[in-house]
This record gives sequence, structure tokens and C-alpha cells, in this order.
Amino acid sequence: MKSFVDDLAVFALSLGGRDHELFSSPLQWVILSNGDADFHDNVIFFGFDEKQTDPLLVAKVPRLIENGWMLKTEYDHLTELWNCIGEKAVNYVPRPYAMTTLQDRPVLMISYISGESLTRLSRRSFWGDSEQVSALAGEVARALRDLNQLTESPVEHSASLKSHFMEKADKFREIFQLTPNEDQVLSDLVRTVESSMATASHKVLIQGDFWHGNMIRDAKHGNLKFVDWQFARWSVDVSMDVYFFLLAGALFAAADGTAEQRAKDAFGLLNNWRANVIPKYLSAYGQPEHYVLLSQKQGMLLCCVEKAVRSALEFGYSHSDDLMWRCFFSELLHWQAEN
Amino acid sequence: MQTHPQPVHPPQPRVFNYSLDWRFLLPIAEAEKFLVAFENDVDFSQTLEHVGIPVSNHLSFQDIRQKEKGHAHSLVLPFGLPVGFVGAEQKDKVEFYRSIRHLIGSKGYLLVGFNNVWNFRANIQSKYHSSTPRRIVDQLNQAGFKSIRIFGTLSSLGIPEYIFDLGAQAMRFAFYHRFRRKPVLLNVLQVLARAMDLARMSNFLPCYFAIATV
Repeated sequence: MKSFVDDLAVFALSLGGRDHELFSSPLQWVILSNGDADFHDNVIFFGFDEKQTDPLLVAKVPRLIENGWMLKTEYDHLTELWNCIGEKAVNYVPRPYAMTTLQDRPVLMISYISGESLTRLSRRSFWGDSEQVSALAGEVARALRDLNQLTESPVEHSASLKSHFMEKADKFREIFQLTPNEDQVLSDLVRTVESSMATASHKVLIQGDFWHGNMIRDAKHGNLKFVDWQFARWSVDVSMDVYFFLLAGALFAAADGTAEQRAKDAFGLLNNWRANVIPKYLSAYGQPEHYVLLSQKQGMLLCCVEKAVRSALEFGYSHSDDLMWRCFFSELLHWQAEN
Repeated sequence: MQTHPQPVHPPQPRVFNYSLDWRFLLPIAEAEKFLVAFENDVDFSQTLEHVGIPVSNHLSFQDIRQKEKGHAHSLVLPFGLPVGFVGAEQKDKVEFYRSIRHLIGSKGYLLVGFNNVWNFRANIQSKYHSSTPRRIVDQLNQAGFKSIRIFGTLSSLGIPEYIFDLGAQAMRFAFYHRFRRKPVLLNVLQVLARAMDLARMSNFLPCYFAIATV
């Protein structure tokens, strides 16, 4: 039997149509280990030919076979997105080449996006400067709205678009000890999410993990592209994507200290952004007519609940960041409702 | 009085000190048949079990001599040859490699991880011999191994962040992405890459994995 990387190369060279191959050169590989030694993460293979500086393709493989569902979700939704909006998708996301199984391992093969990941943005000099954050936020909001508009389509079977938010709220209660006030806020939030969904006539494809670490500034055209669609889903509510970008940015800037301290610092930064960043961001996104965007407080609380229980629901364990999201939930109870 | 929020059920994920991504350089579907030899390390042993390589396939170097012919699909020495078991001379290492060839199945591989001799920081506390790509290739050739292929590794054998072919494109990409937050170091690497070609620079990586067939 061949080595895994050799089988990967053979498979990559077999891709293409009847009369042409996508790749013709022998491939060299760079293997990037994501997440240190987190066995719930993926390993990323960048395939090179002998001539080009940039990789020809990217292959994602889970460290543990049972986590292949994440890559299948990513492949299915990238494929749906490409089918839905056609070649315009090249401006936003990688092209899905194939989902296959090699040596019992699920393998997702996609195109490489040349550019800089926004994870390079400095915690202090960038995220601490509201002018710069505001400019980026406006750009992110416009790109997200454009993409949402492109995938917007009528809801045909509302039952298939259940939010599952109640299950997430139940898990949140199960994992974390809530005060009576927090419990009441959570119950109200569940009701709001459910009732607002009933008003929507259209669904959009949301990315599900919409933070700056999953954004790449295209090297050639300078526009933002979005990667890592493993938590993507169709939804009538875009709040998760819209507000998660703000919360994740604030938490990234508040990098030091305990979970409680980080949540407190991030909340303080979010409050500072109320004057400039958040209004510009939400204004650039605009108010959707056919699908739901919750109010700031509700949308941010929803993000905290979803993030705090994601590891427990998807992988059956509690991630070290879960408590931070739970603390952020607590802080956001003090968020003043917008006018 | 409000208390600090705490999880009621805190099942934390097991945090491992090893990623075992060298598995992807081998036929990973046969992983449960890999023999893995290393100096006593309970944590490493538990990590191997976590990915389905059973304890019965974990070997001490003392055990290697007692193993029967063709027992393994592939043999993995993820940290190389132990100082306490294999002599420092070239001939000692060749002899050791020759002595383990019979353990590997006819379609199996040998994988050897090793720190570069220039990797002083890692070598100070290491229980394993350091080496260079040229020496390893030479030793494996002399011991009768074939199709020897070297992969560069940044920055440690335990949790390698990058493992890559030693071609120019792959090396350049790995350097750029590994050191992009260290512009001074990246500039030095670019100057060096211009002064001597990347093939020569490949001799100065911190560690490597070598794979070979029997």
C-alpha cells in the first residue's frame, strides 16, 4: 500500500473532466497541523507542482476518522453555494474539487486562496484602534451581505429549517449553572428566536464560524474571502454570522487573563465600539427584509450560547473557550438596548 | 451575591503533547499494525492508543531484538535512535538499521524522526541521537533500505507544525507561513535563500522525518 501522501497525490492528479486533468505535475506537500495536538482538528495538506509558488490545491483530513462529518458539511455547503451563485462564488469562497475517502480517511479537496489571513492583524495595534476596526467591519459587513443576498432563496419547507436553538439553550443550562435572571433571559431569547423565524420568508447560507480567522484578503484583488465552512447551514436568521464577527474580534483583542477577565475586557471593548464600529458595521450590512437579523443584545447572546455549547454538542466535550463564551453571555446581560 | 459562572459538567478534552501527524507519511489505513519504538514515555503511549495504535505495538528498544520477522506492517522510530541503546558511530547506526529490517513487512515502511545536529536547544535534553539528512540517507542506504525520502519539519518532532517535502516551493511556503509573524527572521531567511539555494538551506532545518522501504 502507498503512503497516504502518495495516494493523495494520485487522487489529485486524477481530478478533472473527461478530456483534461486539473493538475498535471507531480505534487509536493506541505502538511500543516492545525490546533497543535487537538485530535478533533484537521490536518491541512497544501499541494504544489514544480513551478508555481502558490499551492495548486488544499486537502483537509481529520485527525480522527469520526470527525469526517465536518469536512462533508463543508464540501456539501461549498458545492451548494457554487451551484447557487455560479462563478461569482470565486469572489467569496474556495472551489470544492472533491470529497473522497483515501485509506479510510475522509478527504476534502478545495482550491487554494492566495492571500493573507486576517489572523495576522495585531491584537493591540489593530483591534485596539477603532478607526481601523471600523473600516474592516464595514468591508466585512458589505461582503457578508452581498453573499447573503446571492444565496437568498424562498423557504419552501419551514420544518426543515428549524433553528435548534432550544436544544442549544437546554445544553447551555445543562453545562453551566445559570442565575434565575440568566435563565429567564435565555427563555426569552428562545421565544424571540422561534417567533422571529416564523416571520421570515427566505433563507440564506450562513457560514457558522464567521470570525476574522476564517477570512483571507485575496492577494490579487484585495477582496475578502471566507474559508472553513464546516459549521455552515441554511438559516432564516443571519444573527450568528453578523454578531459573531464583532464578539470574536473583541475577544481576540482581550487575550489575557481568566475566562471571566477576557469576557469582561471584551465587553468593555464592545461598549467602546458602540459609538463608531458597531453602527457602521450594522449600517453597512443593512436591514434584511426577508430574513432575520436579531437586535444587538439578542444576537450577541445567541452567539454566546451557540459557541459555548458547540464543542459539547458536536464533539461531546467541553472546550477551554466554552466557559469564556458563557462568561461573555453573563456580561452581555448588561448591554444597553439600542435605540 | 452572584458567584463566578462555572461549568456544572466540565468534561475537558484530553490535551496531548504529541500530534502523531507523521502517520500521514505512511499508509495510515494500516496504522493499527505499525510498530512504534520509543524510550519509556507514558504520555506518548497514551497518545498512540488514542489513535488506535495498541499498546501491544509499542516497543522499547530492548524489545526490538525479540520481535519476530515480518511482525509489523511498518516500523516507526518517531524520535530516532536512543543514545542509551545505539552507539554514536556511523557503523553502530547502520548496524541497528540493518538489524530491524526484518521486522518490516514487504510493503511496509520505516519512519525515522530526528533532530538536526544544529538544533542545540532540542538536543541538550534529548534521549535520542541527532543527525543530518545526508547521514541518515547514507545510513539507511548502507543498511539496505530503498526509496528514501526526507521531509523537513518545523519546529519539533512532538508537535510538528509543518512537515514538508524539501522542494523549493514547499520549503518557501512553509518558511513564509511559519515565520510570517517574525519579519526580522523571515528577512534573514530570504537573504539566506538568495545567497545559497533552498536545497542547501534544507540542511539547517530543526528536525526531519525520513521514510524508506525495505
